[in-house]
Parts: sequence; C-alpha cells; structure tokens
Amino acid sequence: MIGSAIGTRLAAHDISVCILDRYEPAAGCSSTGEGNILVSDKLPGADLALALRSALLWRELGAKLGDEIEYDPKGGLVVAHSDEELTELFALARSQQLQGVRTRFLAPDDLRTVEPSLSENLAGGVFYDDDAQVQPMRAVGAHIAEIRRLGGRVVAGAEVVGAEFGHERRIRSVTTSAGRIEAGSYVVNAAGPWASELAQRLGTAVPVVPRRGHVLVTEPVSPITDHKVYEANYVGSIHGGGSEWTVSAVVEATVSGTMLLGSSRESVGFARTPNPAIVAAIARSSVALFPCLERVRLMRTYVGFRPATPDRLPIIGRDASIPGLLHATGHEGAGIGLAEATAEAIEDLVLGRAPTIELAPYSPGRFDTGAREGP
Amino acid sequence: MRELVVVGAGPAGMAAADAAARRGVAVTLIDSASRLGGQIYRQPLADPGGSEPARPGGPSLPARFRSLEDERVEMILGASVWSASRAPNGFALRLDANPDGGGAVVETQAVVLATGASELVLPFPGWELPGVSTAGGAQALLKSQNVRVGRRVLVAGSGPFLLPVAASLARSGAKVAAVVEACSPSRTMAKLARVLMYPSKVAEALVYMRQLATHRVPFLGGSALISCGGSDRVQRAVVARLDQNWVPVPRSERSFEVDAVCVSFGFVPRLELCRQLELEDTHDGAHPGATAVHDASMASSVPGVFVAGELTGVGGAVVAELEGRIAGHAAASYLGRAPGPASATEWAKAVLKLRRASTFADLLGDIYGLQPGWTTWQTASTVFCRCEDVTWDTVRHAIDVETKSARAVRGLTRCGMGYCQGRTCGPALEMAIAALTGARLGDSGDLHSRPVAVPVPLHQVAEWSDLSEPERSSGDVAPPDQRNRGR
Amino acid sequence: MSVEAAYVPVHFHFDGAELQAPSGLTIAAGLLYNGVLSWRTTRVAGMPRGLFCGIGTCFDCLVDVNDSRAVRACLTVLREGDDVRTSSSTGGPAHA
Repeated sequence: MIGSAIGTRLAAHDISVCILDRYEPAAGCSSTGEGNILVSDKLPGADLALALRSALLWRELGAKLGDEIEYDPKGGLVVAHSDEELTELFALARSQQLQGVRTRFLAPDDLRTVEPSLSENLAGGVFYDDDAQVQPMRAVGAHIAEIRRLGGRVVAGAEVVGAEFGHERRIRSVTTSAGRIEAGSYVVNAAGPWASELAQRLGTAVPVVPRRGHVLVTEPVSPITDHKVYEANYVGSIHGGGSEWTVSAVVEATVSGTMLLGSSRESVGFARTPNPAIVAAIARSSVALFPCLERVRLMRTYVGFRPATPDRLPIIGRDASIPGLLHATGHEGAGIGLAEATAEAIEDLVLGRAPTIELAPYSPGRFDTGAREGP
Repeated sequence: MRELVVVGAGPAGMAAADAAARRGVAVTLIDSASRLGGQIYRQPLADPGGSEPARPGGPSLPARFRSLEDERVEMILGASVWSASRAPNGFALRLDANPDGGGAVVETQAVVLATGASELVLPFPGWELPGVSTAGGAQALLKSQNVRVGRRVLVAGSGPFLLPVAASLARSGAKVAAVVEACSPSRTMAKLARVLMYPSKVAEALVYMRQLATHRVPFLGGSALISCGGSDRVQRAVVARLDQNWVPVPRSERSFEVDAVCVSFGFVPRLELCRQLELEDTHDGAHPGATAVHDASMASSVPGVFVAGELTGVGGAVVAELEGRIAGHAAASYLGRAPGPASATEWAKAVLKLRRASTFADLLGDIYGLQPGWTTWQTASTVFCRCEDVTWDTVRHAIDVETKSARAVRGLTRCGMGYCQGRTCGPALEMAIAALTGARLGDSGDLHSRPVAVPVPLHQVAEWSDLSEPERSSGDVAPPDQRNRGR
Repeated sequence: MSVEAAYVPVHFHFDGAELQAPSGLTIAAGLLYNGVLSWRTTRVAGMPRGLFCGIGTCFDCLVDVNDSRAVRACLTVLREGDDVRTSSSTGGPAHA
C-alpha cells in the first residue's frame, strides 16, 4: 500500500517511477489487514496529526474511486467494559477532540441506539465519525494501474539483495533477484515489516520489527453492525510491549457479508502458523461485544505482520547516512490508513516542497543517539 | 493426555486404530460422520426412524472392522477437528464436539492423520445447474440412503471411480445415458501388459463393464461432457470427443437428454490438518494438491505424527487400509510398546502387501492423467468458483495479467473465499494456472492451508473444555453416546 | 425416485409446502426424493443450487431449517416437523 501510494503521487508529477516487490503488489501486509482508516486509535500529537491528514486524503480518493476500492466512511465505535476504562476513554477522546477529531460520547443506552446488537454489559463508548474502511488489495490495484497508466514500471518478483553505490554514497543501482535496476535520484524503502532487513542490505538500519496479528473471518451473515467496533483497551495494546500476546476485540462487517474479527499482537518473528489459543481469545472477546455472534461460524483465520517501531510512530524521511535513500515504513497496524499522508510526505520531500505536516517526529534519524539529521 | 488419536474412520483410520489398540495403546478414533467407514464404506447416517445411530459400525461395515465396536477404542463420532497444533508433550486437537454447547480440546502424545480425499471436479459450462453432482455424491446418496440423483443420468469425467458409480446407478434402476471417460482407451491398451499382472483388479473392472453392458450403458472413451444446458435444472448434456490434450474435436458433439449428471476427475487429498501441524508435503507435478511426505513406517516429518490413506497419495481403499495398519503399528512402537512376534509379522506382511498394492495404484495414475485442454471447455461466463459465482473470465484475467499464485488469485477475485474455502475450486485453480502459464503444476501453490479446517461456531471456538479428563469435563460437552447430529 | 423399502414417513415443510420422505434420510435426500433439486440461491448471483458433492465439503447444499441458517442439507438428518426453507447463503442468527 505505502509503496504504491507513493508511486502514484510521484508518477503524477512526471517523475519516472519503478516499484519493486519481491513477490507482487499487495503480497505483504496489504493483503492481511482489515483496511482500517482510523483516527480513533491515535494518540494526540504526531500520531494523530498524520492520521487526520491521511484520513482526509483517503476521503478525497474515496470520492474519486469509491466503489472500486470499497471506501466506506462507516465511522468507528470504541466501547468500554468498565467505568475505569470509560473514564480513560473519554479523556483520550477529549484530547483527540482538541486536534479536530469529531467525537460523540455515548452512555450505555445510547450505545445500543448506535449499535443495537451490542452486549448489554458495557459501560459506554465514543463514536468517531472520521473512521473509515477501504479494501486494501483493490486500493493497491487501483494505484498500480494508475502508475502503469502514467508510464511507471511495476516489477514483481524482484527482491533487493544489495546495492551499488556511486559518488557520495548515493545508491546508483539496486541488485535484485530479477537483475540490476538503476536507482535514479531516490530510493524509497517501503518494505513494511521487512524494512529493517532491506535497510541492512543497503548498508544502513531502521528499527522495524514484525508484530503479528490474527484476523478471523466468519461466514456471510445478515448485517450485525454498520461500523467498526472495538474495545477501549485496543489503544493500550498497540502501545504495550510485553512479551506475552495480547488480544483486543475489533469487530466489523464487510461488503461481502463476512465479519472480520480481530485483534492480537505478539512478537513471534514471522511465524506463519496461527495460534489456536489466540483465535479462541479473539472469538471470546468478540462474542462478549456481540452476543449474537455465538452461533456464527468461523470460516478462516490468517495472520499478518505489522511493522512496529520502538516508539510506535512511523519512520518517514531521509536516511541518516545514505543520500537519496528515503524510508516510509513502521506504521504498525495503521499502514493502510496512513498510506496517503505518508505518500504526500515523500512527495513533498522529493519535490523539495515545504512539508504539509511537520515531519520531525517521524524522522529516521531520531533513533541515532548521535543524530545529526533532521527530517 | 491421551496416547494416540486417529483422525478419520475410513479404512486407513480404522486399520490404524485397530492395529494400535491390539498393541495395547489407548486409542481415540475421531470422525466427522456419525458412523465408521469413511467415504468408501458409507453407512446410513441415522437408524430407521431417523434416530441416532445405535452402533458406530453400520449395517454394511466390513466384518474385519467390527472388532472396533468392542469398546477398546474410544470413539468420538460426529465431531470435526477444526484445528490441530503442537502442545507441550504432544499435540492438541480442537473439535466442534457438541453443536449446542462448547467445543472440546483433546491432547495426545501421538496422532495418525487419515483424513482421506475429496473429489476433483473440473468446471464446464452449466456444471452449476441443479441436477449436476459429483460421482461420489451420487454414490453416497444411493448407498447410504437409497435415493437416486435422477432417472436419466450421465456419468462423466475420468478415472476408475466412474465405473462402480455408473454400475450402482444402473443396478438401482436409473437409465445411465452413458459413461464418458476423458482418457482414451488406447492409454489402457498401452499399459495392458502391466494391467494384466493384477488379475483381481481386471476381474473387478470386467464385472462393472459387464453390468454396464447388461444395462446397455454406452462407454465413451476419449470423450468429455463439455457443457450442460437446461432452464432451472440440467436437461441436456453435450459430449464431445477429445484429442489427447483433452481439447474437443470439432463437430464431434452429441447431445443427451438427462435429468442428472455425475462428474468426477479423481480425488485430492484433504491436507488441512497436515498443513496445520506443518508436516512436509510434496507435489508430484501431475495431480493437483500435495501429498504428505512419510517414511516406510508412515511416520511424517513431525515426530509423533503418522499419515495414512489418501493423504499420502490417492491409492484407493486397499492401499489405505494397509498404510493404516502400518501407521498403527508404528505409532504403538513410538509410544513404547515393543511389538511381539505376531505383531511384527503382521506389520511386515502389511509392508509387503502395500508394495504390490501401491504399484497398481501407480499404474492407474499412469493410465489416467489430467490434460490441460479442459480449459478450452470454458466460456467467459462459466462459473469457476461456485460459492462466490466467480466466472472463468475473471479468474483467467487475474492469472494472465496479475499473478501466478493461487492465493493471490483468491485475494483478487474472491475465488476460494466462499463457504467451501476453495475445496471445490482450489484444485481446478491450480490446474488452470499451470495450463494457462505453462508453469509446472504445483508451482502456483494451493489453497489447502486452512487454519480453520471446518467452519465452527464461534461459541465453540471461544469456550472449550478439555476432554482429557472425562470425569472432570465441563457440563456443556455431552458424552459421546448423547451427541446429536449437528445442525 | 427411491428403491422402495419398509417406509416410515417423516413429514416436513419446504418453503411452506407439506412433503414427506422415508425416515432416516438427510434433508438433501428427502428433498430429492420429492423431486426438489434446488433449495438455495447463491449470494452473489442469486442462482439456484442443490446437492453437489453430497458429502459435506462443497457447501453448495446449504439450507435453512427451523432456527438454523445455512446448514449442509447433505449432512443434516431430516426430522419430523422440520420447517425447511430455501437458503439465501447467509448464516448467523435468524433474527439479525
């Protein structure tokens, strides 16, 4: 998603663009997430700023491409199980409001007006009008088609294994499994959870590690919810970091009638086999939110790997040591939602424009103890 | 913690359970049907009156399996394993044991996987019309319920299974319009010398051919059912002769009036649990799907997991039973039961018999091959994925333009994302990718990796009790003799 | 349609019509016994479907019965008084 979004914007400026994927477009995170475009789960400050900008850009793209990418400004409902949770949730929502997020504070009765099938055992919640959903594979497909239409190249099956450096340590070309490819003026590392591996192969470093998640897919059912609904402890689980796995319920419907149930976080590298205990925990917490899900059948489950960074903010900007190398990665579970603003930030950098949003918080150089570089 | 769980109660699973139980192992045999027998020894699901089966072995279970009913073996019937995973000291199997209560978990030191195969069907225009079924489905209906799929039936596809199905239908009083076999008889003729080395198999085939002759059923070799028509059900079947690549010969079409059609192109192993346990599998490049890798004692690549039956390669009931017996013996040894002289002899005999039976299965594989020309039977609007109504045109476009990976085609087109999760269209998709791109069959990957092996209600995923301690199991899991056939 | 044996009937409804079939049959077999070939419309194109694989792997034969939706007719035994209805290929709680 990130790479193709960047490619579309640059190609539109007549910049010659070449997208490489070691498999094919959307083969990584883009095909294993839920297509979330959320502001609700972002902490105030830099986290939220990028999300707000990106949500706006997605709205514009959605207006243009709508059905093709299944953009749905459905809104998100965050619910709390206890009064303590509710207090924390309301506090977060108020601070998000200050940055311009639209929120509605809901008492338990109001909750069931918004979501009639919700459990009766909830303490309250917050509704976020600005949360939306998109079908990521289709969005990637639309971007790829546009890139090709604008004369850009998309090379599948090209895994970058190294680089050839020229003068001043600029990358002259990258060596891939599909041959050598000229680098041009810029190389962008948008390799998601594999970004640190790629950086290493290019002779530099970014601290991105995989954080695995599970998604459960149910059989198609008559609509139970029109929104994305999740538990208040979700925000905590993003920013937690313990070694055990955590589960926090996220429930939503899709256009095809299936329900997507998440979420989990664990640090198990790139292990591909789902963990049945986690699947059970997600089932439990989803049924706790929507009791009518009890008899709905689970059809499949899959895992995906979020690119996580030490401070949970993305890494967008110039590499500290290799001129012309840009990073656009580390979006944790928000890559789809943050893709458009990330692409705009890279576009700003490449065109030499003043950045639309302040980029210092996402700087790759922020992790160097002896950092010399700004954004 | 149990000692040995056998998943699948067809000939392989039953033989494994029997062999291990005789060596003193505490065996648990699990099957999703309410009775023993698997697909080949199909038993009625219910006793007369629609009541729950009184005995696990139905009326037509072969006598040599009757001893399983003497309660040496714990049976969990009517339960599907939806997840198999490693556990400390062994493996954990999650079941949908009780449709109205919670699910169940069974922990065990060793496992024999004998989950069998499902039928391979290749799409063609009109295959989605009501009245078109698989040969296996028609056979199951007839054998276990005495119901025929129709009065005028065409049986088509490829493989030795067409003969017994057509013969059963003919004997039941249906008019079998024809048996249509895609492979040319010349393929059998070419291997005739080897075929004749198996006189009992030849005799079996001749019995079927004679029954078909008695009922005046034409056998059309080197031909295929290339389309069906009808308004809201199948009424017409168009058969054409094929060249050796299975491309229809122009102007060779004949039309049959029918009210039912049965199709089968062979079988594909059901690999879900193997994939969940991360067993090594291999692809022969000639048949869709993969087979579990194993050694001479049916041990898989994962210590403690044994495989038997169609999972190791589609070889039929005789091979399956022999493999099961070997796997049961090997599992018993793995669990520390040294074989006495009688067991050792039985085990060795099974190995020898298996060698001979396997060479016949291989011979059949040589005679009946799958050719890429079936893709020319499709029209743009032919339904390829039945669950999601994805057309051939959509799938072909994805393969031509976007990707050679089966999973990527699934993501792009929704082919394989419906209720059956690619069980019906997945093998055809593998074959389509190979046929259209010239890649080796198997390079596209497949859709057999399913972390959820069978759809299971969320409340059974969410709440489960441990079946290891039956005295202390939670109240919402009914003991085996009170389980209902689920809805 | 069926090979006649001692016949104990099960009475049931299909989309409101009263039918009967020998006891012990699955819903699919009971419907086929009555000449009914399709009892489901597909989710995307609304096309009729009935029995296909007959053994529970293809999920074509989904049917609604009593308060269960989208169950496999080929695996579910027909019981006296069952209210069998054409499925729209959707599962879940009947009231949602």
